[in-house]
Amino acid sequence: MSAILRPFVRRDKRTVLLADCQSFYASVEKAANPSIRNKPVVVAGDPKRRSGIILAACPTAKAYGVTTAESLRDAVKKCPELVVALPRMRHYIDMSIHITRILESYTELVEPFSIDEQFADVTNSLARFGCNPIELATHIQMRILQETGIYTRIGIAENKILAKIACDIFAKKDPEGGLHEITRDNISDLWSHELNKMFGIGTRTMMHLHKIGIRNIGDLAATPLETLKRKMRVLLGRNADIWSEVLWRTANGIDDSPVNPDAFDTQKGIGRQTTLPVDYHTAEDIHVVLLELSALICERSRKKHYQGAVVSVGVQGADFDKPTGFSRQMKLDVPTNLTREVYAAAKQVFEKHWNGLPVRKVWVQLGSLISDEAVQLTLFDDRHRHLVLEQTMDGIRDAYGPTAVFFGSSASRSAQLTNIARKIGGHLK
Amino acid sequence: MSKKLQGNGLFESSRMMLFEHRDALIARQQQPHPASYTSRRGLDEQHREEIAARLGAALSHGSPIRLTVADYPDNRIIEGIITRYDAAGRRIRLNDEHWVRLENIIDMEE
Repeated sequence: MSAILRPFVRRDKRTVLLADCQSFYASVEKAANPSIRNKPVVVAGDPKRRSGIILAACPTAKAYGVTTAESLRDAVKKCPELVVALPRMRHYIDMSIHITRILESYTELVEPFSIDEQFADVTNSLARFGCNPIELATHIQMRILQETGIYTRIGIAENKILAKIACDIFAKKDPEGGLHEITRDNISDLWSHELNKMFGIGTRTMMHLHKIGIRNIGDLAATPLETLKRKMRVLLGRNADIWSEVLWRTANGIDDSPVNPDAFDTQKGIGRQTTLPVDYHTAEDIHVVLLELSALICERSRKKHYQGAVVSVGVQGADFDKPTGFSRQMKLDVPTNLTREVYAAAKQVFEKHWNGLPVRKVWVQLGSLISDEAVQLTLFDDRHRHLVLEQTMDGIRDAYGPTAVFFGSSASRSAQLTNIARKIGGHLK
Repeated sequence: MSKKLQGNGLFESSRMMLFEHRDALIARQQQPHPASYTSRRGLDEQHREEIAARLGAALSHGSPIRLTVADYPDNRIIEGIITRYDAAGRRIRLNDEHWVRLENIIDMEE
């Protein structure tokens, strides 16, 4: 017997929207401060340091040539009257969830994809509202603008991948309505576009595809899957088959992924990341940050009564156009929420996979979570004593602040604890 | 087949999410929905215990069930066999398709 949902009716063809907030952080700042509404506004990592980078630039600033991820120094040269706002990450998260709520008033099937992009499956809403996809998207767009001051561009299609492509390649370039629907009748409009415009294709993948004679999305869509796999195997080895199929399906708009409203109904992992103020070059310096991140996620795990069996670690270099670093994980023998155990695993993963190149971003995550009610006893170890010690530290931090007590290495030159406590995702809260 | 090519794998693996944003969404999902709250207020302790016992029996026997689940704007009817029980998340999975939070179950039939 298959599960049956009522009163909702399954339809053969879905209607999926991807709503993307234009210049999200900058738009939130403009909405909050009407006096800067018509001015060139950027949100920049650290305005006090001229080397800080632009996190978001409004369309007015972009018209001066200001771009996301360039240095504030360069941006001000292009636009001396630039208004620079400090990031307020907590507020941006709240605004993003406000938009989730607006979308949920149209359909229960809403899935955030990032802080400024959300999928909504409106298949059953169309009949309820008695309108077509473009009319519904227009209504949603106007309502989000009215309630938040944020302009959204909306891609519409029969599945998520095409909705994402409709938004990225067409709706974002549409100066009129910021809406675009891809159907089977107009999907060929996509094929003349360059490969790097397609979701999932970065510089490196595009170079690989160029090497095998694939120049645009149409070439990719028209290449038989088996031929693509065979040619990509020569370049990528054993990972080629899966990756080739992902690319081929995307170019042909084939996707049966559900819009999953339950994507965030349980905690799958607890993690933290930080962007370092400068490149770190030595393992000793990076170990300090790994310990600080391990301590933070273990504290959070204990408070939520979880322990985890998998530790994931990642590092990234400063140049996002030439990505360096890794993201790897290891399984623990015993689930834990003890800092020293998570840190030991994180350090081990880091030492195994770091290639010595400079590091600007570091993250650690504890996954495969289970309840901490069942604590596994291990021989020759004093886990309970360490747990009591860490719980005592948690209590002190609750009473006196997140930096009231810390491990000794956080007093060192490379420590980031104070910085991390003030930030979300490497940017000010 | 790779996880990336199954279910929501493509988007699960490429989602760019701040840990804090993820935490805020999880916290929000775990708050009782106003509609669910209204529906569940009527459940007395005895009825709740009865549902829990019958769910336990259905799980161990693998027998099909029919649940009334609190939702907005209308409650949902979901039918199927319990294929997983997530004690930490306080939820069950029907036919490997739908997660249902225990607190949202209003009624159950076999």
